[in-house]
Amino acid sequence: MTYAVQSAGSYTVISLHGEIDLQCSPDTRSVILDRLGSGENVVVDLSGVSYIDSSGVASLVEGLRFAKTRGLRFALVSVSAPAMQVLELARLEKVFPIYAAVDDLDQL
Amino acid sequence: MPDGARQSHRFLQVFARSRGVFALAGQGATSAFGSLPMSEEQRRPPGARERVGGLTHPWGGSTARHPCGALAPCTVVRRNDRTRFVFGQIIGQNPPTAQSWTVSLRRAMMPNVSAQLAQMRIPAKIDELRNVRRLVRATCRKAGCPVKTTNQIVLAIDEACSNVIRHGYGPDFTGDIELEILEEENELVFRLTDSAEPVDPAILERAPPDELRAGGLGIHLIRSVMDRVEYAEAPAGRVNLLLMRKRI
Repeated sequence: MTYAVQSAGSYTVISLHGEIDLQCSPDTRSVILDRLGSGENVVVDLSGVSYIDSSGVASLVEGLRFAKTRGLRFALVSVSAPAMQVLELARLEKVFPIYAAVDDLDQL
Repeated sequence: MPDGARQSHRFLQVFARSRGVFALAGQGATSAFGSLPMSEEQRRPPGARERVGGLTHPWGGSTARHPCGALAPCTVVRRNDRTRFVFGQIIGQNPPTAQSWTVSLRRAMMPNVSAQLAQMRIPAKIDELRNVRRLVRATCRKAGCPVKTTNQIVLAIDEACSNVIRHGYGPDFTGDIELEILEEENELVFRLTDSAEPVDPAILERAPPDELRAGGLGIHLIRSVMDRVEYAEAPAGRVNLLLMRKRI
């Protein structure tokens, strides 16, 4: 798994790529919580994610929970088909704010 | 064993070895063919015609029917030491692939035979999970699973292995995990054994996690994907055996 971080207006976009499993989900968790911990609104771009397991999903859940406690925004964009499949199996697809593209972030 | 059953089994063994022999002649193919090697004993045994005729039995004659509804004329030609299946034009929308035909044919011919499709033993380390996923994905695709089902099965097996590594052995223990993939009737069977701490089977009955609590999500995913999940008596030398079944 690799990731890239960039700014998009008042949001920080974290783009994840590759497979997110038990081995790299701690990195995913760290990068998300670090940015939220800095007071940034975070959007996670999942378009490049070919696989995500429950530990990866747990990282996203933690991010959402953390953001809610701090009054920050947290959303997912461009969720790839494999990632959406897992979110649906986990019954979390309606829990996360999910948008088709970063351009839709104004609707947040 | 009755003579018919023995012959049938012998044929099935031959057929199992022939997996992948069948090939479609190009995209949107109009014909497909495959040929099966025959043993010396099978070449000219008394009643060979009946046994060879039996090869077409699942389709009730000379028309092959795929589970998706597609039809194709199928002729069995027996010449010298080979039996050759000649498929005519496949009739149906989205004609199935040659591999799918092959799997369908084999399932029809060996409904009660358990076949081992794959087996691997890995150290219980998280960097091995990638290899598990690769094997499961390749095996499911070979068995004819659609991409979406394959993705789900890969996830479930990965979760099961992750649980063993994370909760079974834990960070201070070393051990291994063995995965065996079998095909029985219309099911894929996944046998996962380990020598970690004994697992309380009640863990499978836990309620799914609520929306914002990720703990227990792995078990929930396994149960959502698989048709049956149970802990069974482990073989000698192993502690846990997790059995997972998925209809295909």
